[in-house]
Amino acid sequence: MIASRFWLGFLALCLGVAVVVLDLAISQHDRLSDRTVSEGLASDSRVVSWYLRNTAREGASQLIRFAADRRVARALAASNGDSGKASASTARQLRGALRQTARNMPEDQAFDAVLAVNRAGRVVAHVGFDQASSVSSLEMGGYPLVADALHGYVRDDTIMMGRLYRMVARPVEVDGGGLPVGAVVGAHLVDDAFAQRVSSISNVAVAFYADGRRQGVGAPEGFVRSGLDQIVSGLPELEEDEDYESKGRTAVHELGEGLSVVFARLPGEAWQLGSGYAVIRQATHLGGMLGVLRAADEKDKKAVGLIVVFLTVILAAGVGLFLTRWEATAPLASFREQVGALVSGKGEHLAVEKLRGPFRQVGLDLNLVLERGGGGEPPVSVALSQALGDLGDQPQMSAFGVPESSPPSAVVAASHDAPMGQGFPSALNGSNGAGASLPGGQPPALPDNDGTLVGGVGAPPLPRRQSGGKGGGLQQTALGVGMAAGSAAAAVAASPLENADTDTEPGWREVYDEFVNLKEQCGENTQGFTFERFSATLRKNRDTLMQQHGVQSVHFSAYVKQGRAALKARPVRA
Amino acid sequence: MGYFGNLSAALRASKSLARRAAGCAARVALPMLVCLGSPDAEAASVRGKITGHQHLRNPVWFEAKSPDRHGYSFREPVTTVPAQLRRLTPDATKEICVVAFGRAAGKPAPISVKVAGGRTDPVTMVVLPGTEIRFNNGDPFTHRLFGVELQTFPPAPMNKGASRRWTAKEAGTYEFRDELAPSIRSWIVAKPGVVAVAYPASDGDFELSLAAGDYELQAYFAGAPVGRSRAVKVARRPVNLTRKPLVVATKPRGGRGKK
Repeated sequence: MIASRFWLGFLALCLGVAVVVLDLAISQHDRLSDRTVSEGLASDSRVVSWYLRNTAREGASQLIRFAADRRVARALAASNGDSGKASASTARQLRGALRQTARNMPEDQAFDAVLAVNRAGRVVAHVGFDQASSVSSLEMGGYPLVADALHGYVRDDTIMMGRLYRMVARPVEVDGGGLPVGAVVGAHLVDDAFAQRVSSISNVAVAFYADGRRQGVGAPEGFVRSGLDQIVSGLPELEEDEDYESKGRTAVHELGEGLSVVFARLPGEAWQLGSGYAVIRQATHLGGMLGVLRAADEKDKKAVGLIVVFLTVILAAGVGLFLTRWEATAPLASFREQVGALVSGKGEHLAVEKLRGPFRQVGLDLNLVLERGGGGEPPVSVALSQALGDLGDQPQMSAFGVPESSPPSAVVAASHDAPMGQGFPSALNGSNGAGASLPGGQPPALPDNDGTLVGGVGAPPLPRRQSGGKGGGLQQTALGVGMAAGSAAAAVAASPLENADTDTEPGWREVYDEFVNLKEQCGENTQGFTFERFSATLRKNRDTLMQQHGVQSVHFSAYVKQGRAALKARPVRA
Repeated sequence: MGYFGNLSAALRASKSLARRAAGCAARVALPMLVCLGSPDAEAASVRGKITGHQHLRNPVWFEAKSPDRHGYSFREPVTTVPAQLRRLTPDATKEICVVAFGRAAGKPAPISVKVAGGRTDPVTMVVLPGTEIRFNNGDPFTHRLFGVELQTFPPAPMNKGASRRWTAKEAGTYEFRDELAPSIRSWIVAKPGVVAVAYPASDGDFELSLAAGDYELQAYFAGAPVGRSRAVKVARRPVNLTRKPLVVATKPRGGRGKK
């Protein structure tokens, strides 16, 4: 499962990298969005400024229609003649002339109102300026716009006359070379319609304000217009804005909800009143991973490389599936096949060479169990036979009688039944003829029926592959030896034999001779059963018993039990 | 000297007189007269003329033409109008007044000031201390007048047709502006000894009705005296000063007039 785990780790690493990259992308996007909005707003503000100037110039050109109308000029000249007030007929004629000329103007350049002013500054006639109808006489002579026109200038202005007006005025002359007889003023009311015209042409969300109130708003299609009304909340801050005071235009202000705005003053008298316009943009802040999904529109979704995404998913899933199949599914199937064959009786053992991964070890374990159960031999016999060699059909040592000992339960029953040879039939009477090993590599310490200690005498304790429980240690040791190559087992078993001559006790030779003699008498095979192997086994069991029972020495003796040679071990206390 | 009458009535009568004179297209236009007292039987007419007012510049308009004021996005001269006529000369009928100082007596009458068309009418007033000023809104929209650095006349909305009153209790020069119309600037000069005030016609002619006595004539523009004063001795016979007009301004060096 190493490759699968590596793949999972690789995928996790890729996921982490993707998250980092996504976070960086979101951060960069938000920063770029802010910059874009900031630059865009500055551009928008200038666009609106240019539009206002351009429309004012166009309006001044359109006013020529009125100024060049001789009816207008004559009426204004007549109104200057007596007390600065025009007669009703003069006013009526002038109004008719204004109305007719206004109707002939292009619709997109038409004024909301046109006013004709005489030299005294009095409005002689007007069309479209409805609020003037509520007063007996309307005057405009004090405004610089009109004063300039009456003195020979054409110009524009933004004037607060109850409502905000963009105005343009030009002089009216009867004959060139003299003072103008009056002026004509074209006015655009700055309201929602005006703002929408500005917005539709400039594609800018714009809001006009004056006297702390919103005058008109306009926005391109799709823009949330409710945000335009929020500009009023930012107006009080303008009094403290140095850029607004000196340059007439602010830096980018944040209104909340992602709205950014730049305020700019309107040219004209409105400049001194703090009136102006605000251009607004909605900054697209992703704000997180889910924000990417929320902010994506249809165009973004179409831009996603679905094929690449599909191939990536397929590739990642395919590699994962391949690795899990290769490392888990296939070995499991092979193991299942082996087990199936075993169950169906097609074989006696699992073919571990066909197993891979953890199933190989499981197969080895199962094989050992099978050997143990099916042949009536414990799995340790294999290991012991490797350690002691082929000792023939009969055991060389069957048991040790050690009184007052508490043996492991699994061994007690067997030992009670047969303290030597019978107690461990598979170990002592098996074909391999090896002695028994106890869990943990310890020799058994079993109470015999007659009160003597009974313990298996077999191969020296084998090295433990791992420190498991007692039973596990025994099993794994035996299995490991049993399934391993013979050379390995021999190497393991060879270590105590190398010291066989160096640590023997007096009398062991006699015990050996007697034991061999009894075996021969009982018809057991003694070929290859050397003293060195015998003494090594005794030494190990002696040491173990001495350690367990705290005795000074252990006395061994050979005897015949149930027609077989056996050994007894008797601890000798001081 | 006579007694003080209704100043507003006098002002209206004076302007009506001037308009009638203009309507007659007479070469000599009669002045607009503001008489602080009803002319008595012994009053004599003092006819005069101001000159040089074409060299004055309306401060509001003059400031507004500066690009630094951002008063427009474009301002271009119409070439068919001669350059010498494109000067922003004031409207003498509203902005220049000729004041006769003498021994004033009696209680000053209230003065009505019309607020309309981006200015007040008149623009400059010279009154006796204690004179009540009545500002009347003649525009169809709201104004918000206030006295510059004047605690007694703070900004307050003045709807169409509404009036606000203020009395010049002490001598001094007071300026009034409008928060909603920057072009509105009005000056009130409160000074003792004001006997009569006349607003000249557009050509500079004016006429005062004064009782016999010694007077000093002084022109005022934008809240300040302009030109030199003229001493006048009035007897029972009319006085004609038109041959020696009051010079309110001279052509400044460099060709640009200011005051």
